[in-house]
Amino acid sequence: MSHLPDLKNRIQFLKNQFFTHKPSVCIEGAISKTRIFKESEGESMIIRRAKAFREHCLTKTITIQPRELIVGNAGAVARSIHVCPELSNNWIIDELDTMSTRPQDPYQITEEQKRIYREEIYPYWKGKTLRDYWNALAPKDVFEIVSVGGVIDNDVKIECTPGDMVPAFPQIILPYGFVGIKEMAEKRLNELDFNDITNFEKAEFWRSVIICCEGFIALAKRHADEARRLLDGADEERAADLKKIAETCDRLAVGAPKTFMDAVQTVYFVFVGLFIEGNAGGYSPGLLDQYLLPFYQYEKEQGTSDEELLEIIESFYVKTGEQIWYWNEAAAKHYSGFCAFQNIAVGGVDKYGNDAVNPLSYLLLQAAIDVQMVQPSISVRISKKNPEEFFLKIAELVQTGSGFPAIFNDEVGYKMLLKKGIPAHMARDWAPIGCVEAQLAGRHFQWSSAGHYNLGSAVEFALTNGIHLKSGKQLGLKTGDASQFKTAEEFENAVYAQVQHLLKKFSTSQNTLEYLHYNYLPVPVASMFTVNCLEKGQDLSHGGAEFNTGPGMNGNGVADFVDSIAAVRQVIFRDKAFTMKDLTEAIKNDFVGYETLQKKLLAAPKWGNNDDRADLIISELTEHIIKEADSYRGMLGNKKLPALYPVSSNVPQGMSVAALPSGRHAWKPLADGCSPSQGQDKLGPTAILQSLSKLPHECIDGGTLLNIKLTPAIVSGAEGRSRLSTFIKTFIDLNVFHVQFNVVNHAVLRQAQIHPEEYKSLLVRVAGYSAYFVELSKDIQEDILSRTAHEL
Amino acid sequence: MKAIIENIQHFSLHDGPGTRTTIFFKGCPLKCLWCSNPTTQNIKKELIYKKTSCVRCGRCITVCRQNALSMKQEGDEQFVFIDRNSCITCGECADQCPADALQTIGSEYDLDTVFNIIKKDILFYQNTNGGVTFSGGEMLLHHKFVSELIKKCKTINIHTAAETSGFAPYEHVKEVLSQLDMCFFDIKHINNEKHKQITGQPNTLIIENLTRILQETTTPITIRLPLIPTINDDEEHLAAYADFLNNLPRHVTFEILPYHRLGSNKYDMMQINYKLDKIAPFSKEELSQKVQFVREKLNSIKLICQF
Repeated sequence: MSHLPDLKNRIQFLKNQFFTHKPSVCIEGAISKTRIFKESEGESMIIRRAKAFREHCLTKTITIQPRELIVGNAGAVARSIHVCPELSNNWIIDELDTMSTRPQDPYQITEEQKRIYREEIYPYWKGKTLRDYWNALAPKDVFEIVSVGGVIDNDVKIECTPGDMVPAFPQIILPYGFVGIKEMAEKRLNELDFNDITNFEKAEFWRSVIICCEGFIALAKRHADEARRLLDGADEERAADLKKIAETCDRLAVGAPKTFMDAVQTVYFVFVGLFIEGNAGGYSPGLLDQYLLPFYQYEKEQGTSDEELLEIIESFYVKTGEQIWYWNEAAAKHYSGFCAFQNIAVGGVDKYGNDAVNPLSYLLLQAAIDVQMVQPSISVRISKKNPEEFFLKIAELVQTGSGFPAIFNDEVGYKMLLKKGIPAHMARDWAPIGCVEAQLAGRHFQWSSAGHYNLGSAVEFALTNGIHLKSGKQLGLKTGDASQFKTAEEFENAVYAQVQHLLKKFSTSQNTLEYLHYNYLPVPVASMFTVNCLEKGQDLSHGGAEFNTGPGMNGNGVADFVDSIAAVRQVIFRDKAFTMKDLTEAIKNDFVGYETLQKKLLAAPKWGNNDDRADLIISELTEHIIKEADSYRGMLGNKKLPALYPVSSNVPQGMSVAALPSGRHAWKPLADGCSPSQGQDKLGPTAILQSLSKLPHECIDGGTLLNIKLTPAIVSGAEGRSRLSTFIKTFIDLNVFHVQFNVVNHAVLRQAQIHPEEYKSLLVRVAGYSAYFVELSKDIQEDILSRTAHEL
Repeated sequence: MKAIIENIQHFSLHDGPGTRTTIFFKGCPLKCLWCSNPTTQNIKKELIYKKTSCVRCGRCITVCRQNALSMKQEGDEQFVFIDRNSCITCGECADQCPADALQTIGSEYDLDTVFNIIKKDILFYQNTNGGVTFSGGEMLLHHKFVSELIKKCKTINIHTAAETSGFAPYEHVKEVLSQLDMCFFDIKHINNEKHKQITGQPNTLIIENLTRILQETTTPITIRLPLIPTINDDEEHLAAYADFLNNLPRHVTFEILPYHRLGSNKYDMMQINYKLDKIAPFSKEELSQKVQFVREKLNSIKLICQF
């Protein structure tokens, strides 16, 4: 590595340092919150939460790690989870002894921390958590269906604050800074006329904002102090860094950001603050290349080099990776990989609809190429107005095999916002947050991730008269004895009745949660960073934002659903090779003794092959879910949104679904998002994209997701970049919303050797020839594996 | 009009410019030792057998009305043996096979079906300057079918290419090649005797066809040499090949296709021996040395080699 410039060395050092930290528990905040809550009984919830926020900022351990430029953590140290007992008290007490050894996303915890939690924290919060309120308030039928697991899951809004937001950086935060926001709140508070009774609630909001700003200012000040303390004994190079950190944090403690580093540190502090306020996913930086551009231009005027700015961006990325959205053991499978879904969106068009790609866009992508970490999530918005160089830079990032960037069709995101009711002149400022959810950056409150329902279960219930085979419980509707169905239509009517039933229960569960958040979980920090809350003096949960939509009603198992309907049409009702009775028996027996039927079902048309016999079923499905979601309203009159993306919940939700008419075996993962079922995309990426283009993406405004696997030979070299560039332009033409490319690496090919049935469609291509990898003999596979290594 | 097709492959990236759809026709007059698509050699449908997928249930043997299938034992290994003389490729066994271990290769397509499949990816052709490539087997065995397809493609501006062995009556060669936007034309060995040994046919007709097509049409031609270790990679042959290329009547491009073994498993599936069992593909160094050797001998002819 010695040939690399020193700048790169820092990032390599920070990355290595990152991986030395095992995720661990921090209960400093839980301790201070418990103390503050005990002292503030009788005060309003928003004030109590604001005070707890400030207290943690004032008392938490401040850590500045060797060589870092951007500083701060929600917990005491890097990669520590800041425990919020009001959200997670119940499971933490149960899992204290197992959380450090669980297989998915473990957290280190000391015996002393366990003791304090058991003796000092848990007893106070017992009965006062969102989970406790949910248990008490949820309607019995909804409670039952959610408790089974895998049919409707909604822990994401029982265990977490809303998250799912892009803070108003260009509108509020960067122009005013924490001090300016505090002054705005003070001014409004002073002007209040309490003859208007509604002003009491506003006053409480503004008071809470002032308290939170005091927290942020303390955080900045304390980091400046710590940087100065570390000067003692620092070498010359580090001393220069530390002075810069101290100056930066000092400036943020008294005013608005001025330099590029000020701005990036401000952005980072905002996210630290949001994680302190509440454990959640989807706190997203958004349109970073647009709102940091003035600071970039300022630095250019000062003669700062791109390399120096790139180093700041890369430090910011590493820090962003340190933030953890923590989870209980069961839910960690739904949101696996210590991933907090902090989405940065690069490129696209500006608010006027003109090309927004600028020099900073390239630096942000270069930083992703250099750093290659799980977080932040790097997304690009692409428009045909963007220059070719931008498409090639995107291709360069795809080539790394990191799975980034997530590629979004700018025009579809824009139309999604129009459907949500955002005025056309504002909707160009959309940003993908979390996974694939379009929001109006800085002005929009939307529970985009609010759990999942299972489309696979709907198919299962139609075949079992509503019985959930795994638990034996009647969770679905009684739609009749499926073995007696005489037509495909009869079967499909039953399926859609089950879909409707699940959506209704799902909506009820969401309503319950919105009501609980409204009463128990104000979020003053998130609110003061959203346009209009400050002006109106109103918390997000009470409707403070300019636009309120959601929650997303997110379905799992699109391909499983479509493939099941297509297979029943073809095998049972067209070819009449088998009967509905055969099918219901086969499903109950997971195809044991029904292998020939399973084979016929697997040979039926499948989603993802540009075959209308399967693909047009998506139109029927989406028509149902669009109409159904549109018929529900949330707490604030907000329109609910149909959504089809899995996070990683297609795996645990699959574990709750019996065998399906698609030919899929019981308890196996469902297909992810809108992607074809594993191994069922037989015709390659052009066919996949064209199947996906039959989905009305702009109407599924909660988000749609597509993953495509590509072998390295397709993407390597300059030719590969140009190929990817044209491929994603065709993706724009086809009106698909999102695509992410997984370049098949060594690890994937090894997996394919172990589980060939899941990788049936993996093609290896050479001139004049291509072959299915899993069909090759072992020695040829090894040969390809040895080549794959150097191609990456 | 109908033709028998082994496979239609979308998103082909190496059979001509851009993103293409490649049509693999069935049937070939040559039997090249290294053939990576042995399933395309026979013009009829064929049954293949995947030993590793087979669950040895024996259902196929029971359903076969021709008694063409039997369970065989070789050493520790048990497998279903296909008696090709009795098999009529009715497909009944494949239909009944629970593990997809038996499959029939080749389906009859009519012209409009193939054209509709080609049209599906037109947006990709337009964005990448791609198109359709007729390959095989030897597509010239289906010259009328291909010729009609080219005409249809031209009506909506789809770029057409083909890969050919050049072994066909000249009228057929001209009928197709004169209409194409470009063509890959294989010369597998310059020496007639050697050519016969490694492909089963002499090269005289092929070279005559090439020479005439270069004189009588303007279709851009890429001459292809599948470079096979110990078979046609000796310096003497490469020098003669370069000399041959230098003396062609008009400009061509030259492409070397390095030997690979990706098709060897298909020989197993067809229960025939892969004759080049012992030959390993070139290392990158060996290959670039060979390519360099030829390149130095060529007069202003572009040489392509993808590795």
